[in-house]
Amino acid sequence: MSLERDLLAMATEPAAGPRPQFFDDPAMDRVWDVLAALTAELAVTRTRLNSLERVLAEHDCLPAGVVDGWVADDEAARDQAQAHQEMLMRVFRGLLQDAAAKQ
Amino acid sequence: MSATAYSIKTPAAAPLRAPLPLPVSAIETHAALPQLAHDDQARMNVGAAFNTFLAQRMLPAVERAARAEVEPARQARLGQPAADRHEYRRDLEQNLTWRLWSRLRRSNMEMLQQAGRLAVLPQLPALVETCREINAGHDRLELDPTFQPPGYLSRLHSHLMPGGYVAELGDDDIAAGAAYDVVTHAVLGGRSGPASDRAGRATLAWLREHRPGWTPRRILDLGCGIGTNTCVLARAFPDAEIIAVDAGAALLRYAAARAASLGVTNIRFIQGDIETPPVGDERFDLVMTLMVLHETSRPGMQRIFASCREHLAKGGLTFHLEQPPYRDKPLLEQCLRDWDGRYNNEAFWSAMHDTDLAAQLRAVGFPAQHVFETTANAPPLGATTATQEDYGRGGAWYVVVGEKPLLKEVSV
Repeated sequence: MSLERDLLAMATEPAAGPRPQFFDDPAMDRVWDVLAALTAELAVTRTRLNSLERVLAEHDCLPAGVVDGWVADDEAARDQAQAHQEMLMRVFRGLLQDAAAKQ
Repeated sequence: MSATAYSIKTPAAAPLRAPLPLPVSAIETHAALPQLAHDDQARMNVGAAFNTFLAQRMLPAVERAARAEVEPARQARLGQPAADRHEYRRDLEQNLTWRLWSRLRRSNMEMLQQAGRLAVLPQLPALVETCREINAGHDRLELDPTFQPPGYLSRLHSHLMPGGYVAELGDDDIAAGAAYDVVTHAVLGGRSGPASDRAGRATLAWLREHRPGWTPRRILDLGCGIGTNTCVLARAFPDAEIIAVDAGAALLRYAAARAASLGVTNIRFIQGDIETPPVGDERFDLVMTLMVLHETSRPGMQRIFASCREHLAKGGLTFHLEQPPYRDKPLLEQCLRDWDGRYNNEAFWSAMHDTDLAAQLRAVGFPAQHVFETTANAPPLGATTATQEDYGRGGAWYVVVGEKPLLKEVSV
């Protein structure tokens, strides 16, 4: 059996049957649906980070607990704070653009 | 500060810790089982955690909202409570907590199905090859290339499984079986056990208790799926000859390879319509459906029951395990139990749970005194027992049994 089709598209085909709408506004259903998927992907990413730390510890590359006990120096703290701002600006771009349009 | 250890004073009514699902890595290993990479496993486990969260943490909030908001609002508006579950549900559907819980439960199901398929499809050619090799080594798989499955299996894809049970993605496909194996485990949080065979173990436990010492010689399992439950009986009754029937070729190829790789050699997997099982005029001591009837139709179920009687040997029993009927349940619980029927593509779920299955068995000719209702259960094995029932997906089953007497009844 050979498979040369678009697997991402195949896996995303909906099941036959009705697609329920729970909110008055279908956009609300979509927003919650995306939030659920993002939450799941974030949990998967956190699991991967946790697994990675454990693998590194098992291979004596990273003593257990060293990340939890690690304290950012000034430069690292600044970089991470900047990354937080950048991520928030990406996620809430739409809100900021809506607010800007009202001025 | 004092040197004594600090401890949080917990009130006597402190909630029990929410149960943790069994990870997908606990699935009973066999040769046909898809290999899941780290993130694919994590997606299954997160989906199981999501469903556990929805059942253990959010469902109690739905129940509180129903009592504190939905019921008083109706009383204030109309001066009377809902007359039936349909009225109750229409009120619930206006409630924000119900909407959020329902939205997330539906989304999680779609996500799990997509994740299952995405984990299986890239390795499908290799899995197909594995199953081909295993199934070439035995003669316990009988497929019918001319078989046309009943329309309800393709019109509505049960529990949102894309393609349903009868899709064929290519020659000798097994995708539906492989995806079902991992996704079902995740949806139930592993509470069906490492082999997803809790219904089979519940059936065996019931037989041991109610027919001690009984050893069926021939068993017919209608709607066997990937055969997890069938294997329980095959192992418990190693001398029994078992025929397992299903409509889905992809399920049966996977089931046959799975059983063979687990060393189970007394099941023949045959493709066919369980309404008219392709077993000629053979008779069996035990004819059963386990969590199958709700995926059929009303005329389909009636024909299945008629076939059960036709293929039952004298002294044998037909055994049908399902979630409990709605009758006598509070309206809110009925609505919660009916969620899978309305929002999870379970075709006959709602109507079946309103139907008197015992009466249906009597209608196809089982004598009234030989038809009875009972319950069956088995431990989840490994997963923590849930404190809050995930209505409609719990392991406490309702069973309807019909017996064919050894001697013909003589009316006096």
